[in-house]
Amino acid sequence: MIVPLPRFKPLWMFLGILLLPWVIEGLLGRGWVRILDFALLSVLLAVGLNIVVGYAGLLDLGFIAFFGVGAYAYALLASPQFGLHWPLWAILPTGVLVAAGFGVALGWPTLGLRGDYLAIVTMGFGEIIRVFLNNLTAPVNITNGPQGITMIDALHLGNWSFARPHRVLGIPLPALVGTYYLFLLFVLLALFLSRRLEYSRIGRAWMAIREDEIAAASMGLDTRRLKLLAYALGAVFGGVAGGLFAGFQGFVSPESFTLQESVMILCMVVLGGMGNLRGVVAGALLLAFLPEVLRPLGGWQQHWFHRVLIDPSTLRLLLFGITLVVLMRWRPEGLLPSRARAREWHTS
Amino acid sequence: MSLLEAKGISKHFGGVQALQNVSLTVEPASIVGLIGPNGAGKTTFFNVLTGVYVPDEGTLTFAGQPLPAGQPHRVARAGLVRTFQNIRVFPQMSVLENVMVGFHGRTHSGLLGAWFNGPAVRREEREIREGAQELLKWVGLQEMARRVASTLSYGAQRRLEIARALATGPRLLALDEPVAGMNGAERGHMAELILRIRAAGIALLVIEHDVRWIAQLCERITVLDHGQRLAEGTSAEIQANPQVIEAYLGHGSHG
Repeated sequence: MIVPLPRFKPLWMFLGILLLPWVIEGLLGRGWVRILDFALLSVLLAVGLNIVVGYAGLLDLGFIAFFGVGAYAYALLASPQFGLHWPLWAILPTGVLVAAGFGVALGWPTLGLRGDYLAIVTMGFGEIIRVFLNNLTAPVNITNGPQGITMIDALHLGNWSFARPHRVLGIPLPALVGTYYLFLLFVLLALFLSRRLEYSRIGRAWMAIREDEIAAASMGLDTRRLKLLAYALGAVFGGVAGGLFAGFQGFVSPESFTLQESVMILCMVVLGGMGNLRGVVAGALLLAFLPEVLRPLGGWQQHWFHRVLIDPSTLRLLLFGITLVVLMRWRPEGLLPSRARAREWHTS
Repeated sequence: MSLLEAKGISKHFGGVQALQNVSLTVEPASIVGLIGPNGAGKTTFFNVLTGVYVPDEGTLTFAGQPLPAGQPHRVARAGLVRTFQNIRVFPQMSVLENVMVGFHGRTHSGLLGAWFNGPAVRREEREIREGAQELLKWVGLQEMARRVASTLSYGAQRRLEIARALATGPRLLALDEPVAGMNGAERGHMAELILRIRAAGIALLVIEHDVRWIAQLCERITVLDHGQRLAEGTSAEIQANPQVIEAYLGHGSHG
């Protein structure tokens, strides 16, 4: 076998993934299924960014821009804003093309940059997109400014709306669980495509560029094209996640696409283990759930000290930060690193 | 027809004239030496040749075609490929993967190929893998195929760089100080490898400090000093050339 296929998961794991939302709903309540749905979008984003940062080694601090582009593409094509109500199957390919276009357009000027410089420029691009979303209101009101776009059509395929509960074979299927399966499908597809790339001629070329760009070019690799391809693909994954996000949430506004979100996704990739898909998935799930787990801090303080000593949201960020520092101190290569990353940290 | 013809190459960086009117030709399947003291401009010349730098003046013709200036990947695909003075293997990739990367420019499967992974793509991958293994055997690294490149010894990394360069299917292999830091036995192995590469029909351009080592290999030698061509000739001519001796040893010192 030349290209290793994704390792066949044992049946129980597959069943576990299928039953997960039911278990969570039973044990923790419906709110956590919603959090789970959002976590899957985070996974999709992290898998996309992993192509850019993990495979091709391009430090991108503005990745959330593509999430924003995808979200607004969906919002504009399926909301009263322009009176358009395209179906999902038409929005998706359009969104893919738009996101890829943005990936290439924003990647192009950075081709000659490396490391810190690349990070700063991509960060700038991320902010530019957000500022545009905030201000594209005149002469034609496109984005509706800071108020964002509301009443976006729910995700639906034909007559099947993912915003409504259904009954399948007599079993009631809550809307959030249906959405979970839809998002899961996208995540699995993204993982499959990513995995196939990793072990291909293209993936090998990306890794060579990551390791030594000059040597890679000297061996006949068209580094400009390969880097643009990585940007475009990452942007597509991010854009699809954005479209799903818009349809799921029903409204979008620029404040969902701040630098902090870009940093968060980068943290997911780095913390999980750059370049290794299992690690990236683990990192994304961990960082998506951690803030939610820490949410009831105010209540705990009340319980233990009979008053709230520290503002819960501040404390939450503090604990979150401490967790990141501790993890990076003891496992700088990430939770589940790729072979190469583990070696980098432990051979020298 | 000469394989490589560099005519009147000049290159300056700010006020520093790194190369001035340097010409050099390489015949097919020959070995040409490029020597000179430190800072003579040898590596700069390599960088101009392989598209890392764009020359200020001069023309580069390779197999009758002009070499694309400033585009290293196109130079490599045209059949002129190099190694580096400060070894540049892909450190965290396996030895085999390093060589497999060399096949990139000669193979074609793209994004859709990777995703669908059809029979043509799988065949190409298999050919790349077998070709890489073949080359590793050729340079004597077949036992190390699965090792991480950075864990190889210095001499082995140089061999790996050569195997990777050969994977691109070159007609001219340019080696930048291939025996720097090597002992006598290793130098002998490298000389033997270079002769085998030439026997396979590939021309070589070799930068080296050690005049005696290179004289035993090369048909012709070009000497650079202070960015200019000081001399050109057969090994014997160069070794007897008083100007060359002076450039290496300095004025009137050892006679």
